[in-house]
Amino acid sequence: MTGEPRQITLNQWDREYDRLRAAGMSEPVYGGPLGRHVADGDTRLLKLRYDDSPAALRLWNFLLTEENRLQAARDRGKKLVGAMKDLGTVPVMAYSLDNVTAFYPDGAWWIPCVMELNAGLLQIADSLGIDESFCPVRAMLGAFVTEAHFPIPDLLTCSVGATCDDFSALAQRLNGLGHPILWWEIPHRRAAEPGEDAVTLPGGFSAPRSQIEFVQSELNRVRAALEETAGRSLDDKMLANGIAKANRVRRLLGQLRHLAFTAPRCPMPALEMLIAEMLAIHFCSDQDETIRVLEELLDEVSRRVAAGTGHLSTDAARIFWVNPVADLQVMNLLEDSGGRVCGTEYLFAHALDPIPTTLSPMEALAQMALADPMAGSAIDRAARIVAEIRRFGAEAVLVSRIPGASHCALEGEVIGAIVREQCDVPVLEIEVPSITDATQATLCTRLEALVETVKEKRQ
Amino acid sequence: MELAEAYFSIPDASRRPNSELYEWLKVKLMETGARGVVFHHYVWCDAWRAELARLKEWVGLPVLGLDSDGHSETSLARSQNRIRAFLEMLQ
Repeated sequence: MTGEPRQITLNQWDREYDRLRAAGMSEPVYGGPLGRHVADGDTRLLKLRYDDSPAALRLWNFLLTEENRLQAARDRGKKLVGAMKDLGTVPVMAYSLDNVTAFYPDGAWWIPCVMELNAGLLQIADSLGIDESFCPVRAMLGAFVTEAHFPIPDLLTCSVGATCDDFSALAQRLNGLGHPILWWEIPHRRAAEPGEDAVTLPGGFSAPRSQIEFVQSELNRVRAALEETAGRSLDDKMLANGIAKANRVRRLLGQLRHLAFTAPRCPMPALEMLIAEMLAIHFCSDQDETIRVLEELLDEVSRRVAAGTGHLSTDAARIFWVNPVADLQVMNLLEDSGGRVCGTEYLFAHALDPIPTTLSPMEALAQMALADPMAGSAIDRAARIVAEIRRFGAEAVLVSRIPGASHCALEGEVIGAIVREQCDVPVLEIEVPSITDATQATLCTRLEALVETVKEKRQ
Repeated sequence: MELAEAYFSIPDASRRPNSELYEWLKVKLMETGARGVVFHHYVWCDAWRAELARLKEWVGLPVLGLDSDGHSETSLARSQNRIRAFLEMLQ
């Protein structure tokens, strides 16, 4: 790409697509104009604005063709593993087996947004007694009932214990509908007591060794289930190779985040960065392709940073974003309001840290699982956010609540108070449902006020 | 150890899976000859709230779902009214 990057609409992208194809752009098999996904019912795409690079086009096409990829994997005889509520551990194990494809059924939480509530998934969840008092991830129940968004997996795993209680409840509902689930438990991460052996986890949290041993024993059950499903053994060498590949993804994301969040001008919009970060936890059903997608994105971002090009001007307010949004369009709204994302904590910060390679693979994975921000206190989570705010030079924090998600109601205030005290930056808390159309004017006003506060504070 | 064993014998909705709760309930329903089930849960308790629809499908008896915040007068009066109506329906 040459010149200034732009954020363009879907229709503009389709015209740009024709131009790029005529100019000889090559694409992977899942490539094509973004507009074709609207015909599948993904009407929200018409309201988003996209980065205009071929790398971003590839990222979007990769995301929006996952269902086809899963079906193709099944047709080729691969076993499918649905790794529920697991933010980055079981997929690493599953992809260590070459005849297994893992995916993240929880990802269905974006279907009501992308299809603008037309898929009926939330209504199905309502009919099953999982109403709007639960997190929008309840859409996953509807996806299992309709079987229209992903194939029913050969093995379903779900982490429980110190994880999201909304998700645990609806996964139990799914179990009650006749879907067997291998439950594995994550204890609430705590500090070691006197006399206990304390271990520093990847990312900096600490836990007693006994907790790591417990999680490792739980993951051994998952390993056995994966072996049974795959019909072959999963030895330490295979796991070490799987970890190496997962670390490749994590390092690429680490480089991408560093450039995107520290460059004088924003080299990649918040929306594309959100999609890219999500690849860390599930690989969008193809780990090798995830690496290629991220490499191309990193190349594009590196070129832009070297050339001093980017979106927005250098004085854009630098915002740290906490929690993922149910409505993707809200990421665009930040840029409309004059802000750029400089740091994120989307509830899976641990999945961006390299997995230790100096430990046995299972111990390393157990440490990673226990380093999950959700497995510990909100104070722990805030500490990590504070460190990242300082690292990326963020000037404000936006805590995006997920309606119905119990942890959001409790964590936002704790995180906000700690961040204000330790970083002296403004904090804004917003709530983002699956479709924000009715509240967008209010949201924009609040985002603009945050940006103005940041700029006022600079003077 | 005894405390741990006692804890694990509680058939709570939050266990995963919580099939023991339904096994326990099946025995209790048979033992008591219950003609209906009053299902009370606190408003924001997701673990129990999510069980209501499943229980209704499973139990084969009339079920009264009651939610409350647990400590307000209005909640108490509302629950009393609903329980009375449920009892009348069972008679």
